[in-house]
Amino acid sequence: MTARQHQQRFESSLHEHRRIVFKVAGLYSRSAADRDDLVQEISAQLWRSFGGYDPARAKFSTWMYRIALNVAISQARRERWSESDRFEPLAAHHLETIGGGEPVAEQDERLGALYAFIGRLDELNRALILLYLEDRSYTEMAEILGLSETNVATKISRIKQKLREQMTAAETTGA
Amino acid sequence: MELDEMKQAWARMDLRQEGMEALLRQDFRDRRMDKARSTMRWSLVWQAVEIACWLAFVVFVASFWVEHRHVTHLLVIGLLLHVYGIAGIWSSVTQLFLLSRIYLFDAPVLVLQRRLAQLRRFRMVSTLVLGLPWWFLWLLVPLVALTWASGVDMFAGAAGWIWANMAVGAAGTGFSLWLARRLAGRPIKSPWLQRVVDDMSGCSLARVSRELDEIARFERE
Repeated sequence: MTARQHQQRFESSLHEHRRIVFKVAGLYSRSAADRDDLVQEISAQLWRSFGGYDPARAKFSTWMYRIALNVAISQARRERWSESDRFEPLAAHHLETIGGGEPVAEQDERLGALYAFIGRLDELNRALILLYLEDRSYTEMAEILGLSETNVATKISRIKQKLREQMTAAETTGA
Repeated sequence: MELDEMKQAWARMDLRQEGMEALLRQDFRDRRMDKARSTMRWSLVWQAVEIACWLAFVVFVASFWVEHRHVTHLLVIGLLLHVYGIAGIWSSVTQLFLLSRIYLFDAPVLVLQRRLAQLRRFRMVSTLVLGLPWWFLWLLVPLVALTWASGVDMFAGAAGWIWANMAVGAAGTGFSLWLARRLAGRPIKSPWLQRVVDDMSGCSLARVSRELDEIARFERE
């Protein structure tokens, strides 16, 4: 395969799965500018690693999730280091990072609640919830994260429980 | 609201991707992707060059102390530098190995994040182990170089002065560590200086340890 063909193959695979890059970047960035930087960072790392991609070992989407999440989590941790251990939770204005500039809270107030919930999670749990929301199977989630399927199932069930408790508490207090 | 309802809301969310798609296309147009690839390759090449330099240093120092094995102080200095050179090789080889494990970034998230934290921890420790001795080496390295190049034994001529400088070096090492601990936690304008202080005071090491604990906890719970 020539270098040009290799690049074309990468570009077409990236285009087909571009949503993964955008969703991951949106969930781990604090502003539209941060998100754009992260999109570039992730696509650059995907290109660097593309030569080593083996379809026999993993689906393209699994491979892509791994790289995108690894880049996003590493960047979030680097920023946390430079900001004295502060991992800023997602707030209302973060909705625009994933929506591409349009406030999406108006479209569905549930998304606002979802973001408030995700915002309180750390980087690793954020990855888990993203994969769940993206409707990935437990097997694929386990492959992407490096956990056992049982562990993934337990974690998801805990997150559901936590969410239920938070919603009940919010309803009780009238928030 | 249940998580499943949120999943539906998430799926309905309309991503406005036009700007981001343009960003992806632009990356290729600007050839930034090729640049990204070569940067990574260069960091591995650089690490290999570093190993070659350390090897050359060890060979040179070994030949020095073998040649001067009958002069006690030159033998001791040569052996100390030999140990330092071996520590340098160990540090570079380990870093190259740790870098090669993260090179593609395609390992499962927990595996890669652990490897990254291990690499960071190793870099901090080796920077301290290889950096602090320069309070002494700034004098010992030129002393060996001078003896090798001109045959002049500086130590024999000015032993008192050299010992006095070694004492200053010992005090300097202690003072550096003390100062780093005093400054730790305070805001420092220069990011470079901030990093040095964090590394020397042990703050960075504590942070990496916390990261590794977080990963272990996430795996366990």
